[in-house]
Amino acid sequence: MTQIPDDKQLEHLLSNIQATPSASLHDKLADAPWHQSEEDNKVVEFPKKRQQIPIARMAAAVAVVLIAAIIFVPPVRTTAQQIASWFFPPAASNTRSDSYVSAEPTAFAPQTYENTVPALADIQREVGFTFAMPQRIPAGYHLTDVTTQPNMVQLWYEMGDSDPLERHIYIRIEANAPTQNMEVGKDAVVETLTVDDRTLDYVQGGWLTTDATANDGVVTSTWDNSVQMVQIAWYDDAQGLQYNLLYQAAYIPHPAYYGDGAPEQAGYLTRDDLLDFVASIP
Amino acid sequence: MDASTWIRSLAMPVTPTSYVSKQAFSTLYQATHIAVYRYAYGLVGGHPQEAEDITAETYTKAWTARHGFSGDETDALHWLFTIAKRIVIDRWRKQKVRPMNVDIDNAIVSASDASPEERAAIKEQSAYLLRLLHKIDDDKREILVLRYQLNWSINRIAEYLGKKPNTITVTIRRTLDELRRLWQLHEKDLS
Repeated sequence: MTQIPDDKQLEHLLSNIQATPSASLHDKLADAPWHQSEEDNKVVEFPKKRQQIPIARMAAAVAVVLIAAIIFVPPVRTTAQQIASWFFPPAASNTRSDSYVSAEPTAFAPQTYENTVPALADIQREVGFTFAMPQRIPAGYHLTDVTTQPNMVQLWYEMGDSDPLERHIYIRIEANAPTQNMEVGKDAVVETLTVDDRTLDYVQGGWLTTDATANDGVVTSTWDNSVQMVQIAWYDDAQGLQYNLLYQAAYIPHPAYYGDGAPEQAGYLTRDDLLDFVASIP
Repeated sequence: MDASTWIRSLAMPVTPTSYVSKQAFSTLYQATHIAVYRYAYGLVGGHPQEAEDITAETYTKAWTARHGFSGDETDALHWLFTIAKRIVIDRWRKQKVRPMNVDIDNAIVSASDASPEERAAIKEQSAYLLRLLHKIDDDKREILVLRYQLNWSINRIAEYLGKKPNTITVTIRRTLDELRRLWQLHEKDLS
C-alpha cells in the first residue's frame, strides 16, 4: 500500500467516489406507481384514513400565499355586494414579512390506501358531516385525490399526465370550524359575487417571494395580481360548512415560469368556468 | 388555528411544494435518486446492491407517506435522506454484523486524466478507504458522505444536521485525522 495520505489526498479520494445506480435500480422500481401513466392506472388512490392533516397540506396546494383584501369589484353574475371581504381582508401594503417556517421532514408512518374511488357516503362517514361535490367538472379534469380528517375533506381535481402545467383545482370543505380568512395585498382585487343565492369572495393573485431562504428567519413577499392563482371562498349557512377553493393555472402559477402561453392552453379555466364549477355544487 | 398562524403556514416561496401527484413525485425521483443512492452507498460503505435496495425502499416509503409532506426540493431531499437513514439503521440492527467487503467497481471514480496505473491505485485506495469508513462512528461517516460524495457545503450540512458550521468543520478535520491513523493501523490487515 502507498504511503499514508495527508488530509488533501484523503479528501481527493473521498470525492472521487461518485457511485451511481445501475439499471437494476430502475428494474426494481419499474412497477412503482409514480411511473404508471393515468391510462395504465385509472383507479385512483385515496388515503383510507388520515390523522390530522397539517395546515401545510393546504400550503402544499398553494405555491404562493394568497391573501385577501380589497373592498369592491363589479359583479359578474346576478348581484354584486359592496362589502369588505370577510375571507380576504386587505393588508396595509403589497409587501409583507413572515417568519419562515421550514417544512420539517415528516416521520415515516405506514398508511393504507384504497385503490377504488370511495363512495360519497363513505367519505361523509369519514369526516362526520354531509356535503355535496361538484356535478359539472371542467373538461379534461377529474377527481384524483381525496383526503379526509374529522370535520374536513379535501378534494383535488387534475388533468393528469396530459397536462404538463399540472393545473389543479383544490377544494377544502370544513365543518364546525371558525371562519378563516387570508390577507391579500393592498392592491388585490377581491370580488364579492352572488351565484345561485350563494355569496362568494373571489380573488386572483398571490404573494411572491424570490428568496426562499429566510434572512434572520423572515421571508419578504410581494403581492402580485398577475399570479395565475384564484381563490374562492364562501360559507354555507344552512349546513354550517366553509368552502375554500383554489385554482392554479400552472404548477408554479407565475408568468415567469410558464411564459405567456398558459392562459391560452387547453385546460385553462376562466372565471366563468370556475364559477360554473362552484355553481354545480348542490 | 387562528388566522395569523394559518397565514404564516401558507407563506411559501414560488416553488413546488407538493409531491402528491404521480408526475410531481416522478419528477422528484428523477431529480434526487442519484443523490439518495450515493447517500445510501456511502452509509453502507460501498455495497451497490444494498444501496440500490435501500434507495428503492426509500422511494416506496416516501410515496406512501407523500401526503404528509410539503416543502421545496431541498426539504424533500432531506426528507428522503431521513427515510433512507432509518432504513439503513434498521438493516444494521437486524444484521448485527456489517459486511466489510467492498464493491468499488460500480462506483465511478473520477480520475479522467490519470494513467491506467494511477486509476488502479486510486481504485485500490478508495476501496481501502471505504472499508476504513466502517470503523468510524455512523454520525462522522454521514458527515463525510454529505461533504465529499454529495459535495454539500459546510453550511448546508450544518443546517441539515442542526449543528453549527464550526462543529461540522472540526468534526471533518478530526475524522480525517482518525482515518489516517486507521489507515496506518490496519494497512496490513486490510490490504
